[in-house]
Formats: sequence, C-alpha cells, structure tokens
Amino acid sequence: MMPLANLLAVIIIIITAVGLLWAVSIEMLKSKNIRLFMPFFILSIWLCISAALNFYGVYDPQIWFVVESFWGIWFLWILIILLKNKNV
Amino acid sequence: MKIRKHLKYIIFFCLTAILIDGIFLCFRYCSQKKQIIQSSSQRLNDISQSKTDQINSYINEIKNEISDLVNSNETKFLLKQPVVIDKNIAKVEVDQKAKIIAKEVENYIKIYPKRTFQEFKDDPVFQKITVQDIGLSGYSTVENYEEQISYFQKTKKFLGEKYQNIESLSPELYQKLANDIFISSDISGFYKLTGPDGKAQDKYLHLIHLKNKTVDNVSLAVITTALVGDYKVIKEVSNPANFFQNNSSQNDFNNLFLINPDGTIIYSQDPNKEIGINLNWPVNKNLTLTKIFIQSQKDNKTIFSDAFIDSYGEIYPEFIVISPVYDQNKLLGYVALVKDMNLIFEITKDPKNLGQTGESYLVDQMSKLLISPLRHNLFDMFVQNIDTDNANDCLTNKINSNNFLLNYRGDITLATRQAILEPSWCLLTEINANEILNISLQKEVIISIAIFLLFSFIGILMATKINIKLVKKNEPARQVSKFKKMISQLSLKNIIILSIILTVIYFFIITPFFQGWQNAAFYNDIPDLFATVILLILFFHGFKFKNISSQKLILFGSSMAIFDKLIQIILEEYNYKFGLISTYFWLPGTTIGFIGLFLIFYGFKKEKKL
Repeated sequence: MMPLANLLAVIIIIITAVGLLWAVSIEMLKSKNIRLFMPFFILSIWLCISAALNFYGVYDPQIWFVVESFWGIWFLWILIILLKNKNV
Repeated sequence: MKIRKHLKYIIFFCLTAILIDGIFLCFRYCSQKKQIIQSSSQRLNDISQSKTDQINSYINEIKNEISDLVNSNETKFLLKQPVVIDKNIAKVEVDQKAKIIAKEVENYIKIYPKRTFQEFKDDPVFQKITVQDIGLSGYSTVENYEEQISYFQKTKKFLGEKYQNIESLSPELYQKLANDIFISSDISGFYKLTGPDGKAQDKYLHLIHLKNKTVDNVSLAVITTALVGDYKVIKEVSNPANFFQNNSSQNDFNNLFLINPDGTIIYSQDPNKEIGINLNWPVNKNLTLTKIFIQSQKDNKTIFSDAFIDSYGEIYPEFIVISPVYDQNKLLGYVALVKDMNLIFEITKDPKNLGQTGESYLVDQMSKLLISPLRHNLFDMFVQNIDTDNANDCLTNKINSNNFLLNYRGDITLATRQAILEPSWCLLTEINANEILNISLQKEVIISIAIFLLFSFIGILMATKINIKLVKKNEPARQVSKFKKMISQLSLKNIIILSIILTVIYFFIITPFFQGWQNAAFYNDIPDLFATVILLILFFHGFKFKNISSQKLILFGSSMAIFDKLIQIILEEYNYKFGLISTYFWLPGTTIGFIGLFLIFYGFKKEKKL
C-alpha cells in the first residue's frame, strides 16, 4: 500500500502535468507554432515520468539525478527562447 | 498609504501560507504515526538491503579469488607433490599441547586450592583436562612428580605405572629424563617405541613440571606424547611461501591451506597453523575446517564456514572458504582460504542514516551468536546470544508484519532483517523506536514553522519590493522603482554572474546548518542548484519585459519556482544528515513550484503573443 503522502505527491504531479499538457496543446494548436511551446510540452511529459517513478516507488538516486537535472535544462530552453525576445 | 496599499497582499500571502501549511499539517497529523513508521521502515530496509548487497558483493569477490586459486598451476603443482613425514611438526604440536594442558591443570588447581590429590583423582572434570588426545595416536597424561607414577591415563592398563618403563623403549630419553628431571621443569625429546607389530616408531615426548601443588603437597607433571609418523606434509619445495605471493589478487588472506583428498593438511601458508594434521582424526572433528571439508567432500563444491575465533586469545573472528581442486577430472585435493572479517565489519558498523541509536550487526544463523561488533561495542562477539524475534524471523524466513520488536537489550526497536545465504548469516538492522517517533514530531513542527515563515517572508518581500498591483494588459509601467530600474539595466552577462553568486552564497549559508559544504549532499544538490541559477536568470531577465502583465507573471512564476528549489536544497541536506523524512515535507514547496510553472507558462505565452 502506497503511503498517503506519496499518493498525494503523485496526484499533485499528475494534475500539474495534465493541466500543463492541456494548456500547452491548446496554445500549440491555436498559434500553430509547435516549436515555440515545445519546452513546456516536454516539461509536462517529464512531469508524467516523475509521477510514474514516484508511483512505482523508484527512488534510485542516479535516476533522480537525471530527472532533476533535466528540470534545469527545460528552464534553460524556455530562457533561451525568451532571451531571443526583441520586446525588451 | 503605501503600507495600506501593500497590506492586503501581505495578509493574502500570510493567509495562503497558513492555509497551505495547515492543510499539510492536518494531513501529516492524521496519518503521522503510520506514515513515519512506513517511511522509517522503508529507509531501514533500504539501508539493510544496501549493506547486504555490499556483503554479497564481497563474498562474490572471495568466490572469484578461490576460483583463481583452484585453477592456478601453483596449487595443482603443490597438491601433486609426494607427502613425507615431518618430525618438526609433531614436535610443535606436542610442545603447544603440553603448554596448554599444563596451564589448564594449573588453573584448575588454583580454583580448588583446598583439594587433596585424591580428590582431584576422583574429579571427572580434572580427568578430562589431564587426559586429552593429541593427533591420531598421541595423548596427554599427568603424573605424581615425586613418585614418577602416572595416575591419569588414556589407557587404563598404564594407570599407576612408573615412567621408568620408558627405559626399555628409549634408553636415551630415559637418561635425559632421569638426569634433567630435578634440574629443569621442562623436558622434551624424541624416542623410539616398538609397536605391537614389533616395528619401531618415532615418538616425541614433552614433560612440564607444574609450579603449584595440591593442598596435601603433591607435585604434578604433565606429559604429552605423539607419534611422529602421524604428521605428514608435502615434500620440501623451495620457497613454497612464494608460490601464492606472486599474484597480488591471491594475497589478501590470513592463511591458505592445501588438503589432500584423505584430509591431511599438507601445506599451510602460516607454518604455525594446523599443518600436517589430518581432519578425519577424531580429535579434529570439531574444527571449523573439518566441518566444511566434510561438507565440500559431500557436495563437491565451494563451501563457506561460519565465523569463528581461531584460538585462545584471539579477538578478531575469521571465516574459511574451501573448494575442491581437480586436474583432468581427477580430484587432487582441496584449497582453503582463511579470511578476516574487517571489510565486512566496516560495512555493518557504518552508522550513516541510522540516527543516534540505529545499528546493524551480523548474527550466525546456527548458533544465534553475535559475530560482528555492535555500534558502541557494548557486547562481545561470540559471547552475546541474539535470541530475539528479529533474529528468529530471519532464520525462519518469516515476514513479520509487526516492525517493532524487542532487541537484545530489551528495547523496543524498529527492526528489519536480511538473510545472507553464503555464509549463513543474518544482518539485523534496528533503530530505537523512541528516536523515530520523538525526533519526527520535533522536526515536523520545526519544518512547518520554517515553511510558514519562509513563505510569509517571500510574500511580504514581493508585496513591498515589487509593485504587484495588477495592471491592465499592455499598460506600461507608471512608476519604476530604483531597484527595478537597476535590475532591468543589467546586461545578460551580469545577470548570469549575479545568479551564480547568489546561488553559491545560498549554498554556503545553508550547508553549515547540516554537514558543512565539504560534506554536502552534492549528488542531490547539484541539479537543484543548476535549476536555481537558470530560474534566477529568468527572474532577473523578467524585469526587462516591457509588457507589465507578462513581466509580473514571469517574476511571480520564477520566484515561486526558485522558492521550491531553495526549499528542496534544505530538505536534501536534511535527508542526507538525518535520514529520509516524510514526503509531506516536500509537498508544500513542490505545489508552489508547480503553480510557479503555470505562471511562467502564461507569462511566456503573453510575451510571445506580442
């Protein structure tokens, strides 16, 4: 039986992942610019992977090192897109 | 007026902080005990599993080591050498036994200082001490020193016999005894003994005159003898000790024995240990080496012994691994390695993540004796019996639903167990129940307060320092504060440098509260520190946006995500020092971080739509 705290964590991650995926997908379709919103799309997929790892109790430090490191990479991607912004 | 303008935001943040913290506090209290037990059990199981894996990995290394020896040409060469009788080995064995038995008899007399010689003669325990087997046909005896009459004998017909009989068997030795007996208290020598078949055999004798006397003033002497022909070793090989020292991987052992198929130890790396004896002799039936030799003969495979203490006075246990050696399907003999347990003790004694009272130790599955040191060395190895439910569950392979069990001291502990199959050991890991429940409650309150204060502080900071009044879409900023102006004028290079400096400062401020920056949980901190740097760059870059709406969203979002990462660094450090804490502690920060992620997304969307 999964501890309640872990279950809550999984639920919060899934809600965020699904919410973000939904919002990003709509924006992708509306703007027809898939590349622009790609970091958020991958981020939401990444959240799903985190939820799955939590759900199956995978707490291997090496796996989580990779998972956590990619958070920085996705944010860096978002930052690079914003840095290209001319409206500053 | 300014305070009034910000007051509602300060109140909003404080209320939000109370609400979020309160919700999680409620959840934690509702399932607190169950949750703590589950997470602590999980942690204990992980530690136990990790230690067991390390021990098994070491055992596998030893298996490879003995496999190399079994297949080595040196081993096969030595096992093929002819076997010869070695007089010197018989001498060493008889001398050693004489000293041990003399000491035992002396000690026994000291225990009963008021006993007469006749009372000692009638005491079965004393008889057992005085008459012991040595090798296959040797034995010890005790005589009345003045009368030179033996009163304790293995063979009853020799009882009461004078040792002058030796004269007919060995005039040379008799002369030595007769001449030296009143000069020296320690006499020894070789002599011939004619057997029932009329054949003369070499024997060795050692006599020790005991210092203490019985209450009726009877002086005693211990005599030990053995047949030289019983002790066989391989024919002399030049520098046999070097045979196994050329290969460094085969050098990490306390001793190495080569045993021929009939059980004679024909070679020993350490010449002072059991060389020349036969493991099938009745006197050797209780030796650890004999037990695993018989098992290896029967199963024809590599066998590990239990841990054992080699001899009197030794305090560090050893264990033996034995394996048969074949050459073209012909059994040449057996090779046995004696290993110390230092490396295993390093693994079991490691207190990492075990708090103040947690400890791991090994118990022998057969004897249920403690075979590894305890964390605080409270009890002796091979003395303390571990007859606890945890040990019994390990032996019976039972899954105990109740994790709280009494330990060897009678304390209630959270306990877990792992069986090690070869050798048959149990690794028991236990932590005091009071420590888990008390400290958890304390840390829960502290962290709850910390979460609330941090959240409130950031909220107040944001409310006062940043103009958080929501502005209409595309409305330009009306009042630009000095701080905002200064940040927005920073170049990208300076923003990156500033972000890195702030992150590093934070790291050096936080880590001294735990294990210091040198021993920080780098493996877990690095991804969070990296993300913090990127988010700080995003935060500072957000000030440059002309669109106020997207600026606010990015600033809010990135600061919330930064908050999450900063909290995570604290929790990682806490985990690293004190062990795993409940997932509840991670939830507030994570939730805030996720809200920040949404805000970043909407800020990004607004910015890009322009």
